[in-house]
Amino acid sequence: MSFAPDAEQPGVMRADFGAYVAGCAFSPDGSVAAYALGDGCVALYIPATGETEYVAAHKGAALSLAASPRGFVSGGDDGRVVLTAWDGDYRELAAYPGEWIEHVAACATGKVLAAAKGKQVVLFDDALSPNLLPDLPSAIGGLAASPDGRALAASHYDGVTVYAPPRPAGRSNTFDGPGSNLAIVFSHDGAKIACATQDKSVRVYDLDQAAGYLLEGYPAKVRALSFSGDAAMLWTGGEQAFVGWPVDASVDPSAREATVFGMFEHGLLGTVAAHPVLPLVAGGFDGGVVFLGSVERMGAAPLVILDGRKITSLVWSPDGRRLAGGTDSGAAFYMNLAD
Amino acid sequence: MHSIPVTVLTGFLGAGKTTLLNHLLSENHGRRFAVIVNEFGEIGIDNELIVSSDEEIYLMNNGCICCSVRGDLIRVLSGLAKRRGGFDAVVLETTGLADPAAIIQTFAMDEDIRDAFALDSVATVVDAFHYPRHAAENRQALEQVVYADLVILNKTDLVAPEVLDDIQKQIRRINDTAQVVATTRCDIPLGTLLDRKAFDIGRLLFRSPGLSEAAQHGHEHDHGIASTSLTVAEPLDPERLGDFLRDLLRDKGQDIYRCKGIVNVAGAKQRFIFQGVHMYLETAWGAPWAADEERDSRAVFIGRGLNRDMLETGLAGCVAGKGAA
Repeated sequence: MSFAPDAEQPGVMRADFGAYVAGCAFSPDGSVAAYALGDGCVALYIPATGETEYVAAHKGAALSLAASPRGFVSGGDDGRVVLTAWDGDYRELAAYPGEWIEHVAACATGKVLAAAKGKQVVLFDDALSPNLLPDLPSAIGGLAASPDGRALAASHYDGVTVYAPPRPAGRSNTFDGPGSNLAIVFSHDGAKIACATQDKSVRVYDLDQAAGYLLEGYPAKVRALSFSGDAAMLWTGGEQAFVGWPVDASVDPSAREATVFGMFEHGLLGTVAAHPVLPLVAGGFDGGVVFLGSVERMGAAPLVILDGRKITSLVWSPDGRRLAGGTDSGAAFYMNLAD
Repeated sequence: MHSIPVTVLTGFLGAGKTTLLNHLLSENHGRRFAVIVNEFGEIGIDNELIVSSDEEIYLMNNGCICCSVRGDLIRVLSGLAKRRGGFDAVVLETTGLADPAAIIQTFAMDEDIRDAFALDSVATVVDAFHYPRHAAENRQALEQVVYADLVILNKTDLVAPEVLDDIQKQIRRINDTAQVVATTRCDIPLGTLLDRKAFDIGRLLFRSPGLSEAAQHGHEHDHGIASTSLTVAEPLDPERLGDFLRDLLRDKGQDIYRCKGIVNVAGAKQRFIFQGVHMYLETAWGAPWAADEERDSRAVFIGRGLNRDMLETGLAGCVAGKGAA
């Protein structure tokens, strides 16, 4: 149950949690990696000591995880939002019995801490007290905070609602997006939002221009999105390869063409994480293989193979030196790519 | 890893869905169920895994109503998949007016759901006492019967045998492939309710063809809904059949609730099988024909205002070796 070094791959630590890995996150300084698990635990791995601590944060399954400067925030199907400190101390921030907390969002500046409860955004103020925002048109499909904390976005049926700034009684702005909208991410500069849809497409919104456009052509539903560190590219899952779209304003929308490389014949790209600094992108393919793609070389090489049908989570440390991830069957890894 | 079976319980308000659910959960069968209900409340059994889910219909593919899926189901089932191992099967209790088509399409159209779960059965509870009125007043009551592979004809102690007989005939007219079980308080053996694999295309079976005779005559209380069974003796050309079905579902998919067929394809050792809900069509190769078996093709179309002659002509046009129609 603890992390142990891989006998053949130096720098790779592996663990078998025996429960679905619903989310991974790093503390802002990169010293703690957290894994939210289907048995309700949040597992904390501290590479410096090699210790793994299990925090019994939830009674059912932990469904979502995000890192804030105050600790890891997790949501569970016990209806609770829990904040777990780096040392494993945890406290309940809110509880909504009978509801599922499928999405949580936080940012590195600590300005935003939020969760999704059915059709409502739960926004925590500086004192960590929950505030329920007005109902959205449907259950929330995805929730994301901009890295600077100036905006919070929730996807729902027929659109995306952006709260900027995110305040309990603040204004919100809804962007149109017909159909069912799911996973949502901000670019690092906070200027763009990408949202995956139920209809095998991705919609990108430029917040300055208040307009969105659709990226299509996927053979399957897109489950993951990640902007490159410079916000010029959007990497997506949903294909048996890495797919990157130029989303820079300088590219004519009608001439937009996807960069596709790293074809993998055995499964779809289910999770994707662009490197925060370098032109690299990590991707988890169905079947359990994590590839590292190089945008410059237009190629990808396998990084680690995990037990499981799906890589469910993949995340870089903020400095881009470490990578963590896990699968639907509970296999997890932590990798140091810098030493 | 095998798929987790999902049993859907439908039926009008008061038909006995909750009674059936309580019966299912209280029986000592050694199985652990995750239960999805529309509303908490009447379930008398303590079960850790009861989830409530508000029906959210999501239109797909540019808003075509017959390609709708249940967004809430995708969400709840995806969440349940994260606690894999905590349960063996899922029971979904729908509202009294739920459209089973959107539920069936969710299992067919969403890859994540299709990957982790398998629709095992749509069981529709019918209140024998109120059904004639429900059926006359609400198309939904009939549609729920149309999509069922198991019809639990409940409260049979409250009606005379001839009324019961009438209801059975009416059910047969709109769905002659479902198993109909008569009960008084949904006391159906769990072996009948579970592990039906009714939507596993490889298991598609037909009842004896004689029963489909009733389907050929419309009925004034059926809202134009009828089941049309067709048989073709000559082997069919797979390409022509594909074209026929594709065109048919594109043009008439809104009105075709379900279609199923076991086809004798010219030159093939195996049965060719198709089944569809509205515009969604699934095809597969089934069991090989036995050497001494009569190889005829059989198809059933259940829908609203379907023209038997048109279907018959269309299917006849798929016979192999004939000149292009």
